[in-house]
Amino acid sequence: MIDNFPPFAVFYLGSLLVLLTKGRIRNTILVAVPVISFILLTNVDAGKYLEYSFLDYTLNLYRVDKLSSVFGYAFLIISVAIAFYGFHVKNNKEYVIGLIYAGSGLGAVFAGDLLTLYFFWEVMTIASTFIIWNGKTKDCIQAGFRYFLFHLAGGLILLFGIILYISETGSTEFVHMGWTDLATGLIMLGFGVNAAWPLLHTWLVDAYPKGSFLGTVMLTVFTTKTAIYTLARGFSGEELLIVVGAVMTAFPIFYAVLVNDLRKVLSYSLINQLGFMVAGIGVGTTLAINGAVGQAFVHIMFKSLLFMGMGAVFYRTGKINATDLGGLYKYMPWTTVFTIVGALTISTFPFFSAFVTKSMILSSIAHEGYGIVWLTLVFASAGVLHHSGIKIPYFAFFSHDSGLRPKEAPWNMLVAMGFLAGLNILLGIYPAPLINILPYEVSYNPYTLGHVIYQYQLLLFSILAFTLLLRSGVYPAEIRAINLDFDYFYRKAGTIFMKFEDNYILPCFNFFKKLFFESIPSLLNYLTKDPVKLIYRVLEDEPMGDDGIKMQGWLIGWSVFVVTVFLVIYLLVFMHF
Amino acid sequence: MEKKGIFDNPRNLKILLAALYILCFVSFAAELLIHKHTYFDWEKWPLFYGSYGFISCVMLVLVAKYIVRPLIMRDEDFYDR
Repeated sequence: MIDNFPPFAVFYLGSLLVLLTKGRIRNTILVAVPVISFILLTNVDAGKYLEYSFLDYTLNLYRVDKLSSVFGYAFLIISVAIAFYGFHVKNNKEYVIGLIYAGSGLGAVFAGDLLTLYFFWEVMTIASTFIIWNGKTKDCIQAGFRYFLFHLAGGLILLFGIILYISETGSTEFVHMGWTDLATGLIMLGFGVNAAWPLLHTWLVDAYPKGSFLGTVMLTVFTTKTAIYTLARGFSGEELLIVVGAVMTAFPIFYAVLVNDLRKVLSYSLINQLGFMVAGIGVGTTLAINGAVGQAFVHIMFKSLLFMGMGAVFYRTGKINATDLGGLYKYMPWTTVFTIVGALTISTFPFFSAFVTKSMILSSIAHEGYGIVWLTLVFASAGVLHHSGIKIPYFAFFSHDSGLRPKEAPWNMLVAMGFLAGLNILLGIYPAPLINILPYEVSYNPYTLGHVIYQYQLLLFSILAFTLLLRSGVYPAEIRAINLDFDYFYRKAGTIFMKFEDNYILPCFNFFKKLFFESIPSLLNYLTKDPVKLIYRVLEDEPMGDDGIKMQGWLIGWSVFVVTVFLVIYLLVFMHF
Repeated sequence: MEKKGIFDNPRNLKILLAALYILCFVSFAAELLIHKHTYFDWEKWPLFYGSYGFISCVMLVLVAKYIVRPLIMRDEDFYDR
């Protein structure tokens, strides 16, 4: 039985324990939770566990197979790193919520049916909103509300799709479905909201850069990668996804050039990376799925590393805009080195982990003959190198001297970053452990001489372009400004709705509110308050109110008085007999 | 506390740049020596990857600077007004 104990339960339990402890004991629990889950997961055989019955449907809390396991392993490994990253944080709140959030991510990935998946999906939404709010500034609170509304809408679309799907097929099991009708279309769209599809992506770049240095690292792992898992499970080979993925890789890089907030740059870059995975899922061949899933795995490792590097800078300097930073390599040398490892990995330099997996995706796309998509993805790869590979380390650690003299990041942050940096290099040089856990058995060797040379050529000439643009002064200076994204329309529409509501709907409500809660009660109140005074008033020719204002409806008073008298007589007579 | 970093010496920067130019050339020369296995015809063109990467980056920056930025840039308090 103990072997079948699902990871989400360990995490929920851990969350409870973290709530009650502090200091070293808390930190031990934080590390123990993912480590114990990891050991349990490696010992459990593929299969379905913890089936239960709900409303005549058989639900399945813990389904272990190769696809769910890859994401499970990735979530657990990164949880260890995140635990270390925040050792020095005294406040437990972020970790209590974080463990529920991560646990729900694991729950969603291992859920065997749609209803269980939906449950964990929504718990993730709520938990992640609280993590955003933990940033505590006014900006965070507002962005958290926008984030919550967006995911609530996405969740409802998903729920609607699930209900339709279950009523049509009679099955709750979450298996490959493909986009065949309204129900599956809605489910796919629901997943798409969390996968930050184009035009549905604004919550990500809006909310993620606003979290605390620790919260943002947590946020970037679970929501989007769970969505990638669900797409890979339910919609692999769906051709629409190839186009969606290609658009996702290309458009964010234009933003990433212009944006000043470096964590926002990484957020746009995150969408770009998700695009590669979505495109791979769309191709749907065994190699492509392996590539997409492997990319999700290593992406969790290197993206968190980059966010941790920027988080460390933010933690030590309190600044995150490119215009405020620069020259930090002298003061935070280890952070610089680890961030550069992350930057080299995301740029897919050979001998770093992402080179292996992204090559799989690109090869599978080329193999199926999607020329334009392939060109778009290679263009986007050059773009990644440019904004995540060069811009992030360059503007934070080199560029001009910003005058900031911070201390190096605390040891525990360095341990977390060093661990991830090492993992990225290890999996780049020796990818076998990663390739062994991928869903399909496919032999693929990214390290052919030609491929490595081409990759270096692409990257080196892209660096050359950046260098020449920078030295010639053509490269656009970072400017303190906001860059409008598609959420302009949501937010504008929101403002217009609020104005309409203020001017037309609210007055209506106010009228009825006044009528039912003020006018009528006060009249009744007046009539019942002081019968003797009422009699006086009624008998007066020109009755006056308490405040000296003439009583307008005193005739009503008269009639009510008469009726009341009759009622009293009637009651007395009845009660007597 | 002031610290002296390796890039405070302009000579080191020059060495780094020279290394970049040399590596670019080496990657181009290496391409000529190997036998090509490719999926698409255009991959066979000499210096395809290098020129595609270079042009992509230049286009990306120019389009972002001269077309995208004028369209989307607003003051920082745009949404608060």
